[in-house]
Amino acid sequence: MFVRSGAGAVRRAVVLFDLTTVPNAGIKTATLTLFATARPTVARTYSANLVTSFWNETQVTWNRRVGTTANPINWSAAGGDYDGTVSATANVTTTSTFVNWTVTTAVQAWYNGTPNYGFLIRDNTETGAQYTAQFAARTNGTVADRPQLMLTFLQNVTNLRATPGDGSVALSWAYPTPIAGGTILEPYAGVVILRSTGVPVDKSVAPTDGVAPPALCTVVGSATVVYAGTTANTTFTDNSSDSCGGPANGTMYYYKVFTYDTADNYSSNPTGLPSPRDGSSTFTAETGAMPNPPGSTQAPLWVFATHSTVEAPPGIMPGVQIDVGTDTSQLFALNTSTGQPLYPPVALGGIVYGRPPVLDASDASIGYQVAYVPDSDNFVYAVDTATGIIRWFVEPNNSTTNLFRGGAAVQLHAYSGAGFTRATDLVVVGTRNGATTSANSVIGLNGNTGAVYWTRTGVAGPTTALDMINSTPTVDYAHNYIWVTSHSDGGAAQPNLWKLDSSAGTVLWNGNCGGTDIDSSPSLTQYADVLFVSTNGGSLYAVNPTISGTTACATMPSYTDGGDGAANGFPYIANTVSPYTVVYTTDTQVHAVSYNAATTTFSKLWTTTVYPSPTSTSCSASVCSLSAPVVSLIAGMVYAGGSDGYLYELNLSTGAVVNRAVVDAVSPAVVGDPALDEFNQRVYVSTTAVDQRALAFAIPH
Amino acid sequence: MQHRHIQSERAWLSAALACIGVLAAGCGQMGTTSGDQPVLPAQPLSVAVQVCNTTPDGCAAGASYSLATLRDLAINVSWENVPVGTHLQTIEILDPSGWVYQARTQAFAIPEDWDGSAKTTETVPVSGTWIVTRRRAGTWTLRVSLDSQAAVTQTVQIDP
Repeated sequence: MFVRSGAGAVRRAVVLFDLTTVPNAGIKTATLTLFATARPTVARTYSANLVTSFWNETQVTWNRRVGTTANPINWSAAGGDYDGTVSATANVTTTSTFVNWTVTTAVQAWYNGTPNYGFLIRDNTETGAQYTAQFAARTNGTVADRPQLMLTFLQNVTNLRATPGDGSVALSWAYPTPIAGGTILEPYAGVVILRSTGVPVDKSVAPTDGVAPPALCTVVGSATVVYAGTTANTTFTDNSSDSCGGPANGTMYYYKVFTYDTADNYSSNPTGLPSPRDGSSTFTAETGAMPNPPGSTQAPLWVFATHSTVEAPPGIMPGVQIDVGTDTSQLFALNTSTGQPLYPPVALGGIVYGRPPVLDASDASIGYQVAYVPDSDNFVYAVDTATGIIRWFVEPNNSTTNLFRGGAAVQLHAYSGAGFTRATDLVVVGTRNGATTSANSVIGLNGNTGAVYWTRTGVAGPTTALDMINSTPTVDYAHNYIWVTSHSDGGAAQPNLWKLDSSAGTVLWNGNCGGTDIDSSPSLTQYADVLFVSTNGGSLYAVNPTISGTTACATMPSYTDGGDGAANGFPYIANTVSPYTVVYTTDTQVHAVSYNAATTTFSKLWTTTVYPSPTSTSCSASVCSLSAPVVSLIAGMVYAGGSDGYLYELNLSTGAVVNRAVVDAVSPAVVGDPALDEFNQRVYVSTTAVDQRALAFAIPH
Repeated sequence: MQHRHIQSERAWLSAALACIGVLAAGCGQMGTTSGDQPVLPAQPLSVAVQVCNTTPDGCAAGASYSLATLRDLAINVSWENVPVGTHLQTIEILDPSGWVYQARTQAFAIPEDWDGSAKTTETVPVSGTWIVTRRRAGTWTLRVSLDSQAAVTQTVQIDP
């Protein structure tokens, strides 16, 4: 790969490293090394800058970052999008061989939450005469000459647990095993534990490298050192014997655990880059607990800082991992047991707004454990969630206005009947182009390759206009339908519910339910006899999936329970046979309703008003709101996140609020849509506001 | 007793850390250049930010926007007197409680023979997003910076 100066002849190189072998560590140093196979005729200074846009190795050119000649997606700035303020420089002389750039802050930024799009290498003075260097690429025949990134790092503890007691919190952890291929420089010396009351330990707080562990009770940032011990110990009980003051019953405490070595390095990633590209520390192990008399279970199983707003509910591989998409254009894969990252976050091109479906390798036709992820950069990705490798990505209709908001739906070939004629899994996404109320699209993709199977685009007209799609489509395996909800230009004049043939994408029926836009996803009963659709007007419709012709949605049974705003997320069907119990949330209320498919009648079960006043200073920005719900049939509970920093637990039978887990009631956090893991009896939530985190709670709690 | 499990430490990876993608960029036909010390133009850097609601009829600017009808918030940034070179614009979008909801970066290049002006647009989806479902009405703040240097701050009022 070439780097060259000279007006009209400039060349630059881009290089990207896979960091998955070092998934959970504080980076202390990082050095980029390239081997010069040809050198400039005079000494030159070359810089390594952070690339700031997603690109693809086989498609990148001077003008193009991804795409093809016919359908290019160009850099915003020809020659590559990069951050000019974050660079390392190296001198390349007429005799250089291995050239090193010190890129510690850049790599720390990747570990702190900045998407990793690699480095751009360029001549520091590209004007003037032509000088050229050539560096060995990853395909070079001599392995030792290929680009390298040398890291020194400390891993975090594993299996961190916090168990609340009566006036106490018992912590336990394990030390990590060495990463294969690494060389040990200094051994671990122990851990330092910081505690914060009421809110998670601020993400910028960490002990100082090169300085001995702070004394007990030292205040570090907003946290207090409650333990500094050697490797002889893997437990610590925080109680009344704590010289810094023991934890009090009824108060939430958060703990952050740093390993340190004999050179007093800590498992943190110091602030390297200016806000907001740097999350300022640290994917350090965290947890929390609320001491209480015996019987309390008020402890998150783990806490993990995403350093980003998370609007997408987590996708789940039960018992294995959750996959969290963020507003920093990343996909985190976290171990469900420990909350620790399985590999550094996968850098995508845009914001992830929807829950990614995560499929087991044995089910998915692609043959990998895979998550299909649409993003706001107009792409759909197939991410191998076992490794973090992007298996394919596609901009399915060569549009720069897809701005995908909903998640992808997948029809698994392995579970489809003969009526499904595609040879692979089908991935379905809906576009969210806000600049049109009629020409959005539903797109069906080959799950193995990303190739477009079909595209259905709306056209202006009372029965054909397709407004923006904010929801995730629903697959009807029994009938081979794809159900899609959409906006309807705010009224009743165009459809907001669509039924498509899954194999061909043809529109089989559409209609308008409720005369309003629809942002929530439809839900289908297990035996596909009723499709529940909730509208932005707060109404719940029970649609017969065989609806056809000119039958209007208005003829379908519907249920409305007060004017409490739009229904969130999707209606949660809590059982498998009629009469169905359906749970949904609106702005301040949780609703449960029964629907009898035989009599086609709704009957109210209960409505619980979580927030009697929709405005309160105890809620974030003084506005109270609820997330979408999930229902645990095993626990018999309903879970919904509040904007007052609590995860609410309601009795499914009565609607009574039986508990609320503290997520972050001090900031307070806005608790997002929970994800349910019945396999492990857990719910996972993410938060926004101040410190963005993902948490796991055992249920019932 | 536990020492046998406690051996990882500060480690050094070399070949074990694989490089997954290395490639040369294409050759530029244009004379795009970017030095670390670009020549500053005579006029001071200036920036103007204009926001509007993206609709099928165009982008409608207003003194405030309704949460119920705001589809996409387009943030149009106009730069003047930007030095030659590649630059990184960052827009931090702060919600009414003051935390960073999103931070969007966009690179742009000022070629040597250009007048130093540039225009960028960021489209922030609103309708159907978390902003609406969690009812985040109030005063939003846009903090615009160029190459990590703060340039301008502007507020946007979103009504319930």
